Amino acid sequence: MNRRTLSWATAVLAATGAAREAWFHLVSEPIMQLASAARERLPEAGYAQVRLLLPRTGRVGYLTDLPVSTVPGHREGDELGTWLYSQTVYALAPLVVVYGDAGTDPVLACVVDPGRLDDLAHRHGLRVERRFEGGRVALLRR
Amino acid sequence: MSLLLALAAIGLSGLGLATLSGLRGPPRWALAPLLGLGVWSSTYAATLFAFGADPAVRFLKDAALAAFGLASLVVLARKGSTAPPAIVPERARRGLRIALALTAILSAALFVEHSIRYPDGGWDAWMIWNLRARALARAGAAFNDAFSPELLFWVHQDYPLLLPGTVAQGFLIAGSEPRWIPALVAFVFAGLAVTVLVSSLDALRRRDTGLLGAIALLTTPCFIGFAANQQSDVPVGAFLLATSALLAAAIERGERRLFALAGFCASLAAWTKNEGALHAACLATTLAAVPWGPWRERRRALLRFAAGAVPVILLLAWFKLRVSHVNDLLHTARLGSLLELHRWGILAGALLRRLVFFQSWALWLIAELVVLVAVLPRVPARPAARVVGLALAGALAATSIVYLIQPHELLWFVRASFDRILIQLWPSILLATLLALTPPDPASRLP
Repeated sequence: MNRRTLSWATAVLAATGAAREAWFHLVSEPIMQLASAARERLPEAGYAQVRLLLPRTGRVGYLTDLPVSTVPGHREGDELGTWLYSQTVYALAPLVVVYGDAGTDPVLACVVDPGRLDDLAHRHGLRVERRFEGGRVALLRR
Repeated sequence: MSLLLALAAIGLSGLGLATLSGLRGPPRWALAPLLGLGVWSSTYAATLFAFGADPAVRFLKDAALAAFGLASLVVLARKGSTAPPAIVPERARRGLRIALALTAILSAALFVEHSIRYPDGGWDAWMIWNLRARALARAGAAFNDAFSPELLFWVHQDYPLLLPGTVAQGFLIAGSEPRWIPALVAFVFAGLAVTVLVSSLDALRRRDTGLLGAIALLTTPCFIGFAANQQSDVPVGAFLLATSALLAAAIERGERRLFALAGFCASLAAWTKNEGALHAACLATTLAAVPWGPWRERRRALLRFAAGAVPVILLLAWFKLRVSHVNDLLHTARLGSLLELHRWGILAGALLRRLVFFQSWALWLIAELVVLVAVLPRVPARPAARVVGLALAGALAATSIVYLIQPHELLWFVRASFDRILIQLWPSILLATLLALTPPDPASRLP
């Protein structure tokens, strides 16, 4: 292939690609809002307090008021419950967070509706020992 | 101290391996850090499983790597080089050099912007790669908990450890887990993909070709996005590119030692992500099957490739058999899905959509298709480009089969993953395309 043709073709394609990149990073996600985006609270900050009361390693049961996708190929709703579980695992690593296990002591609860926390605990024969993050994260005990 | 030793281990072991394989000039300098990172991380995993998480183990491991690299360089320097002196590359056109510099600056700026906005990286980064790195760095003797089958399958306990191993060692050296460490690792792998592409094309083809390849890679919109998202797909792409470039050099220049180094790079791709093993197998298959030379020569090349891959493939096999648990895609795969025609239709439609998915690819995939259909049939066949190109086509075909048999909702899964699969192959696709479009440089500078 002619070198000049190759160079010009690359130049046109590269200009298009660079423009698309710049549009996404500077306009679609406005660059003027970068500073405020950087100051946003990270999701794992919500686990900072409860982490101090949990063992560093080992297992902890996990209960939630949202459906979680537990089997490949079967997705549950909008995956908010799955996201919440994954964030919990990420924040508390290397703790093994066992979804649906109410047999550990303590048990961790993460809910989107703090009003359902007591009901969730009672259904598993547990009581709420401590609440964090306005009741969205809690330690449960028997 | 441990940081300096780690840097020495990475630099010297990579340089030693590259030099032992006969690489010279810019390709050696470009490949050395990539090889060094791969060795540094894979030996971390091997020593972790063999001897535990004691810091002394890591110290001795890094010391041994640095000593190996240094000894290799000293021995080779004493023996003296039997290769002809490196030819000083012609200077590329000034306009192209400026264009690449501007593209690189823009890309770096966008990487930084995205990293500030999303300090944990993308979904896969925090849910799989950085999660595993954290678990390994924090767990101490309980490191096996990182692979507990009691964790839900979303954390992908079976994924190999090259990227988490690199980040975890960074955390351990720092004594904390600053978010700039995984971002820096991601930046380095992306940068190495670009430099390997430039140096290998510059060495195998006339001036400017490497610069064109680098500009193309950097202006592929999703490349910087995936890199800044700290996905493992960019590191896999870098290792596959190194494999492809070494295979091309070995075939075009007849430098047989490079087949073993290519095999080693392929095994590092497999140790980075499961797809890497599939792509590496495709490269090995076409190395033997495509008639770029007599069968005897191809068989020897394949044996050398396999020999280079053995150490890390053994580690991968051990990890898969003893540590990791079931793979979510294959454990519940249904071969019967291959007979469901409507799934083929859904897959074809989804793939065609990606072809014109401007957000991720701008016009690059359309241009690649035009080249494949309209230009390549008119240029002379070039064996190295054919071996690499057919391997990549085979990898895409094999990936399509995986899509059809995996258990997730097909359309959702293709949308969620195909761009990442393609970005793994994209640097190698650019290499193969430019190798096919441009004639070999009679004064080739590889090895």
